[in-house]
Amino acid sequence: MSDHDNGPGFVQPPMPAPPDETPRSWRRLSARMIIVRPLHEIVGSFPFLALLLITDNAGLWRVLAVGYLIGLVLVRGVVHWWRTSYRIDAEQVEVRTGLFVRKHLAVRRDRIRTVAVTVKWGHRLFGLTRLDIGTGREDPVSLDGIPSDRAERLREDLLGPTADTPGSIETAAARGAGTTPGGPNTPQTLRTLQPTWLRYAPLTLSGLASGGAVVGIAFRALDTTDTNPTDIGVLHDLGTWVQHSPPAVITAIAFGCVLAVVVLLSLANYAVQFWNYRLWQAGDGSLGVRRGLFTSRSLSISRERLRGVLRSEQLLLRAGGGSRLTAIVTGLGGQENSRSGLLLPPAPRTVANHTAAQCLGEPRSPVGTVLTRHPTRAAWRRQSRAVVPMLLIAVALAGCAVWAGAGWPDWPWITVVALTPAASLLALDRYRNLGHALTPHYLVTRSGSLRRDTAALQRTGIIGWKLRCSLFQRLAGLSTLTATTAAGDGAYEVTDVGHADAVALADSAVPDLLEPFLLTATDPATETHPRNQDTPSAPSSKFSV
Amino acid sequence: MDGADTTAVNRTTTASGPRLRNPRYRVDRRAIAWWSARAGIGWAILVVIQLVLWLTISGAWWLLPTGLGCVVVGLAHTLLMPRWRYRVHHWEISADAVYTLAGWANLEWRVAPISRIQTVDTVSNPLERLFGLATVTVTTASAAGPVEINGIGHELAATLVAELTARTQAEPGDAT
Repeated sequence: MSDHDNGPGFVQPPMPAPPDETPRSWRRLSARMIIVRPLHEIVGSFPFLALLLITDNAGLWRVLAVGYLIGLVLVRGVVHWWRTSYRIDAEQVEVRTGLFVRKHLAVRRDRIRTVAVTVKWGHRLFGLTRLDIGTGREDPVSLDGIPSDRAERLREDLLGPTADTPGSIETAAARGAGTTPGGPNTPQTLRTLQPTWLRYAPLTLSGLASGGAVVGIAFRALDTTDTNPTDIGVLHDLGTWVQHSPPAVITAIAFGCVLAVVVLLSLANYAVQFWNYRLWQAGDGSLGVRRGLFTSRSLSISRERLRGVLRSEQLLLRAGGGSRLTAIVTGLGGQENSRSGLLLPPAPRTVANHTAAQCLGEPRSPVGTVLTRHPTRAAWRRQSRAVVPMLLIAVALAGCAVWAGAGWPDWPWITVVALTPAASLLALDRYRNLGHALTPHYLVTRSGSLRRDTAALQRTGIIGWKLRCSLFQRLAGLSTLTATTAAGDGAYEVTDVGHADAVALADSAVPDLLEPFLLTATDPATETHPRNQDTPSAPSSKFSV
Repeated sequence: MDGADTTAVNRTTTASGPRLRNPRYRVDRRAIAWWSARAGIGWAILVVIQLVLWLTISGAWWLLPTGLGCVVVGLAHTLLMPRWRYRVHHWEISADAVYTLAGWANLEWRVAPISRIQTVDTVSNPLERLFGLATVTVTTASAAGPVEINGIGHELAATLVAELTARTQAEPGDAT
C-alpha cells in the first residue's frame, strides 16, 4: 500500500529481517522478565502487602495470604514468559499470549506509526525495555522484555521505511526546519530540562493529588492495624494542643503545613516524571523525546505522523505563565497521546511557543499566533450555560425547602446562589479564551478555562468537517465547527463562531473540499435553511455527480 | 502575559459570507413513518410505565398529571418531529466527498472526503427493516464518529455502499 503523504516514491520495500533472527521464527521475550515482571507487581502493591503484614495481632493467615499472593505473582510471571512469543517478519509483527485463552495480535508493519520505548526501574536493573508498537487503530502491541542493546535497533527497524523516506527530509527542509549544522545524520537537541522550570511544579496541583494519596494510605494503615490515632504519642499531644489553641493559629499552621507538603510533593513528582528530559530532532527530521527518573520513556515521532501540537494550561499554571506541550500524532490514541506524546513539561509559555515552532518546523509558532475573538453572543451563551442551571438547581432546592418545611434545610440553595457569581466568572473566562486562527499551514483553536487548550492542527491533517448548530445556537446565529483528524483526540472544535464565519473558516482551511457545497453570491436566493429549499428525492440510480 | 498571544483582533460577525447549500438528495419518504414509529414507541413505553405505577401505587396521584403531560408532549413530538426532520435530512455523494445534513431542532452538517474513507457499511435495525430502510455508515480514521445517511431505501443503500467501497479502494494511501 502506498501512502501519498510520504511522497510519490513511497513503496513498501522488502523489510530486511533483523540479522540475528531467521524469518518466521517465533521468539520468546527475555527470560529475565520472569523476575522483572513479578518484581514490578510486588513493589507496586507493596503498600497493600505491608498493610497485610504489619499488624499488632499478626495472625498466621495474614502471612499465608501474603505468601500466597507473592507465589501467585511469581507463577504468573513464569506463565506469561512461557506462553508469550512474538515474531517479526517482513510483513507483520505478531504476538501470541495467554494461558487458556490464547490471544493472537498482529500488526502490519506498514501500519506502524509509533514505537514507544519504556524502561521501568526493574527493566533498568536487568537491562531490558518495553516496546509499545502503536498503529492508531487498536491498542498498542507491547513487547515487554526486549534486551536494551537490541531495543534501539529494533525500534529503528520497525519505523524504518517511514523514518527515512526522502520526502520527509525534503518537507522538513523546505519549511526551514532540520537545518542541522553537523550534517544530515547528527541529532540536534532542541530542549533539555531547565532547573528554573521547577517553579511551575507546585502550580500543576500534582502535589495535592499525591498528598491526598499519602494521607489516604496513612489513614487506611491506621484503620487496618486497628490503631486509634490518639494512642500514638505525637498525635495525642497534637490533639491536646489543638484543643487548647485559638482557631486562627490552628488554621494558619495547618494551612502552612499542607502547603509545604503539597509543594514538596509536587517538586518531587515533577522531578520523577521529567528527570533527564530531552527533546531532539534526529537526522531524518523525526522528533525524539526522553524523560523519567525511575521509569524512563522515550518516543520517536516521524514528521509524517506529526499533525500538530497542543498547548495546555491548567488555571494555576496559566496564571503563573506556564504551559505544557503535547504532540498531536497519528498512531497514539487520545489518552495515550496526552501521557506519552508529551513534548515539553510545564515550562514558561514563551519556551512552549518557541518549542512548538521548532517541532513543527514553522518560522512562527502557530499556538502563539494572535487569535480571532468569537462574537459577543458567544459570551452570552457561555453565561447562560453556566448560570441558568445553577439558578434552576437553586430554585428547585428552595422550592423543596419551602414546600417540605422543616424537613429541608435552607443552606443548600443559599450555597448554590452564592456559587453562581463564581460560575459566571468562569464563564467569562471561558469566553475570553475562545479563539481561532488560520496560519499558512495550521488551524489554531483555543478553548477552556480550568484547562485552557490551544490546538494547532495541520491543515492537511484534517480529514473532514462537522458543523453543529443547536436550537439555541441558531437563535444566537452561532455554530460549532469541528475539524476531524486521525491524530490525537480525533476532533478539534472551534466553539461558537458566527455561522457564516464557520463555513468560511472550513472552506479556507481545506481548499476545494467544501467549495462544491457552497452557495455562490450569484446563486439565486436560496438559503441554507433546509425548509425553504426544494430538492428532488433521490433516484435509485445515478446518485453521484 | 496573556495579552501577548491573546485575541482581540476583529470580532468578525459578518451576516453575509459563504453559505452551505443543502446536499442534493432527500431521504426516503418512508423515513417519516420510521421516525414516527420510533418516537411513538418510546413515548408509549414511558406512558405505560406511569399508568401501571399510578394504578398500583395508591399514594402516587401526581403520576396522573405527569402521565397526561407525557401523552400531550409525546403526541406533539411524534406528529411534528418526523415531518420536520424529513425537511432537514439531506445527503449527497459528490466526486470527492460525502456530504450530509441531519437533525431537526439541532442541525449537523458533515463532510468527509472520499479519499479519507476507511469503511462503508449499511446498518439496519429491525424497526428500520420493517419500513424497508437502512443506514449507510461511513467511517474515517477520526474518533469524531462516523458520517451516517439515515433512512434511505435498502436497495439504494446497498448500491451506495458498493459504489463508495469501489471508489475508496481506488484511492491510494492509508486515509489518515
